[in-house]
Amino acid sequence: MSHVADEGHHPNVPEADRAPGDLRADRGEIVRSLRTYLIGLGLAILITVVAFFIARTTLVWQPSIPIALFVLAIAQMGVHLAFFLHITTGPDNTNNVLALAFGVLIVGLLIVGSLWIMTNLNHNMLPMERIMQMQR
Amino acid sequence: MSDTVVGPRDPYHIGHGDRAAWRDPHSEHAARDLASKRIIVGYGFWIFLLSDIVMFSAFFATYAVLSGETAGGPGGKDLFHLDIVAIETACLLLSSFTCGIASIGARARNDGLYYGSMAATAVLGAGFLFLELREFAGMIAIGAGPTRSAFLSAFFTLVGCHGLHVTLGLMWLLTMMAQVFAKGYRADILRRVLCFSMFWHTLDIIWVAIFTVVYLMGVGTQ
Amino acid sequence: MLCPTASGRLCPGIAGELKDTTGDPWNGRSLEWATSSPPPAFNFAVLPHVEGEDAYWGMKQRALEQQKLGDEPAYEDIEVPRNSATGFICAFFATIMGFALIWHIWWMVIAAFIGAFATFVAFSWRDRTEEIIPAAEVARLDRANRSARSAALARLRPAR
Repeated sequence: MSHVADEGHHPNVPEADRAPGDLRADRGEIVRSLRTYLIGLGLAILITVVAFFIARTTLVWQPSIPIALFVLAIAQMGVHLAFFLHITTGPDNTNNVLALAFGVLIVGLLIVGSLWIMTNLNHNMLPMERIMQMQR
Repeated sequence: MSDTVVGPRDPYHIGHGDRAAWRDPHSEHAARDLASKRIIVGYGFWIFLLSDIVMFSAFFATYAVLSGETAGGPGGKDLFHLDIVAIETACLLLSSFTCGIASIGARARNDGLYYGSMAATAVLGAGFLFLELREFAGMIAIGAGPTRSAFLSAFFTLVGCHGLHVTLGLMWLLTMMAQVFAKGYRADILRRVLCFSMFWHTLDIIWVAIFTVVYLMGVGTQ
Repeated sequence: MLCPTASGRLCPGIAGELKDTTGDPWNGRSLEWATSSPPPAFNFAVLPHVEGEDAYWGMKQRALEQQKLGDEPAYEDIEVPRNSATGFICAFFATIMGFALIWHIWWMVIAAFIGAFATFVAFSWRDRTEEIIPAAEVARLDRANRSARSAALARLRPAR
């Protein structure tokens, strides 16, 4: 771990390259960070309220509700990632975005794969009554 | 892509030395410099968090497969109280916000902001845990514990695992408050505060998935 | 080692004249072969200067053509993390906790968890997390490797 630069020794770091949370924030940065968190909170609250409303309402075409909930959940996760975790498209963030993409791939494979396989197995099984009959 | 150096040294343009930003001597990601410790630590901890999310997705997949297997017992519609879930969600969401304020406070070396918002995060997190434990106790009391059916086993495992993470996060939170109190806003302690806030935000992301898939979908469509 | 030099010559080459001292026994192409084997605590004495692909191969070809190693680098102090027994001790407590969880020995679960957590907090309370390997020590280890590679240079020919 040699030659690793320590923070506080980068007098000329350009704006785009600063990692979020770099030391010694000035007034302007604090206000900007606060605004970021407030916007994130506002969006998240909005999406949450909509999700809870949709789950119980009869105003929406019923079969679309699970999909709508799913989309809202993805949107809210995106809001959290961008506004709270600062996983953005800045140049110092490329590695984080790549790691996230890989994580999403693995999660997708796991969940879709499990559902697909188990549904298939379920479909190919005899109904319980028949199984019980065969055991008698 | 590159219009400058072509030749035997880098015939397939694998190196990144041609991008203007990478040649800038002041850029953190200039080809000759390593990134700061803070960025490297953040990246490493993010990889750990992704592995944690993969573990949770295994529990999610299990829950999704078993969500209908109520073995003649109570299902989501009978057991879940959405108003309590709404309060729990509000607690965690606000705690994520206060955690963000705490990291602003740490960056600004502002004691009031840091300790105040960390304490608020702790109170909100504890409130979430209290409500969740009360919910679990209620379900177990009426015979809908984790051994009643496959659906309930999967439910308690998934939501319980998240609750365990929140508990450990709270212990970590108190430790971080103690560390700043004892040693001040040292660079390595600030890196740990960064890791803690990443952890806390990720827990909120997982809760978003839980309240959508388990509670909202569990109550509505069955 | 299955080749005791005293009792019979079971594996005559490995312990004797064919033994490799450079850390690059198979004429490697990539940079992991640029350090000694086993490597020192700091892995590489200086960050290698990399141009294009196959940086180490390029270095070797230049050295073979000129029949001498590249210039000695400017050695600097290297920062490495300090060793700690925390991982081992925490694993001990975690094992006890796992055992107690299986057999529902709740007091042991709590005690082991407190032990593991306390160990971890004690570890995080350190003020000195890194130690310095002085430039002189880096130079000593690297020069030993360089002299072994110089000796090997005479035996090799440049690749086609």
